[in-house]
Amino acid sequence: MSDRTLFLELVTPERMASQGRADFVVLPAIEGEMGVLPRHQSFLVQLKAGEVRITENGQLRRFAVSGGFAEIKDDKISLFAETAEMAEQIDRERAEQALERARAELVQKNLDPVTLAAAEAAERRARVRLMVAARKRAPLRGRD
Amino acid sequence: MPSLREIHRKIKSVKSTEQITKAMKMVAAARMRKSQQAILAARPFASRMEQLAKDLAAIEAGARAEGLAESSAVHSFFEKRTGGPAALILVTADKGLCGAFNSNLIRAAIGWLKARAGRKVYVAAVGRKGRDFLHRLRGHDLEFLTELAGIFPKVQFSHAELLGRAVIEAYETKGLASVTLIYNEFKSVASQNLVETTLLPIPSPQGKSVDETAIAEYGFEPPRPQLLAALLPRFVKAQLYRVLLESQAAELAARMNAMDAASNNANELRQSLNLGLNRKRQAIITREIAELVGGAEALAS
Repeated sequence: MSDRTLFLELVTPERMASQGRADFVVLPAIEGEMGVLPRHQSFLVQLKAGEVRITENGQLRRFAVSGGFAEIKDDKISLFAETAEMAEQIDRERAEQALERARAELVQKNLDPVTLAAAEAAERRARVRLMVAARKRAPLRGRD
Repeated sequence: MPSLREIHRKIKSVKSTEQITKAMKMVAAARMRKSQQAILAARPFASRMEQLAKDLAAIEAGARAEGLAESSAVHSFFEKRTGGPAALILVTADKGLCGAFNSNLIRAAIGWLKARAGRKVYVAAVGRKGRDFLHRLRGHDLEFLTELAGIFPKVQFSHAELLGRAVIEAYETKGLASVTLIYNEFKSVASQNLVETTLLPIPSPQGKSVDETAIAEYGFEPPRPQLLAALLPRFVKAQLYRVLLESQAAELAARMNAMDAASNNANELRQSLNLGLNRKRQAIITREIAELVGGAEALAS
């Protein structure tokens, strides 16, 4: 390993979700997971909904992201995600409730477009949360 | 001269107006703090996205120069079109009582429309005030792309999503030459900035910001055309979201200032009315005493 580190910024339209150094980052790229180490080639990649894993000094942090993009340039990773949440902060029950609520709203007919778009976004968000939360319960061995 | 009772009535009405404006000021101040935080939190995303778009535009330009991409492969968001109808996105407030906030926007919109008089123009209206204004407007060849009303002060990303979808679709299908945004930017609590800017096509940076080799060094997944097709609409929506938040915070700040000024004026008016009332009452008392004294003297003599 080199002495160089990555600098990672995870931003969503609502806020800066995370900002800091990292030694190794795994991104949920559209064609499969992608690991990034320092001195990586400049890269632009589309992300699908999934899990971002950030390792720094042996510490692993995980985020649930619901699709987006990442730009890797000069050891700097900019992650643009629609939503991002710390895996540890996800409340499974609340996510399940949110998913149900959103689905109940979506089956209604004649929704005005504003409500419809909000419900769609809520549904997407809840699905990713559950996906990452499920992985938290049963960690795959031999990973990371 | 107004009678005592008339002045009393006036004071009462000024007082109740003052109470209302004071309450509105408090409400605007509380909401503004929230939306100020929202805009400050949203700016990093928008500014980073802008940087990314600039990189992309430069890469795109570089690719074209090197002949790596055929001109047809240039994404339509970067393509400079001539002719074609123009589109305007006007972001106003839903309500009045916020000083010159809306009228400044509408004046700018009129100027913009005048410059394109006689040509077909598409508009998207955000906020009730702007929508009503555009509906009332006659003598222009207007067509509504979409309208969003009642979204303030609870702007969400889904609103930007809706607006963006409508605008992008029109840009692709109706051959728009450009899409212009007119909105108020939140500069500080005391001041808003009217901004007129081009949303599409995405302006390409002047000069060379990436060196020649940069394009070859970039990797793309999925391949560049697909990546751009997915990324650029997202970029446009992110920008729109920031604009909506800016306008929301600016509106609340403008309302807070307008209501503060109104409260001060009401207070001043009340004080001067009070002074007038007291003077008048004193004058009446003096006159009555004079009359009494005069009467008593007349009796005594």
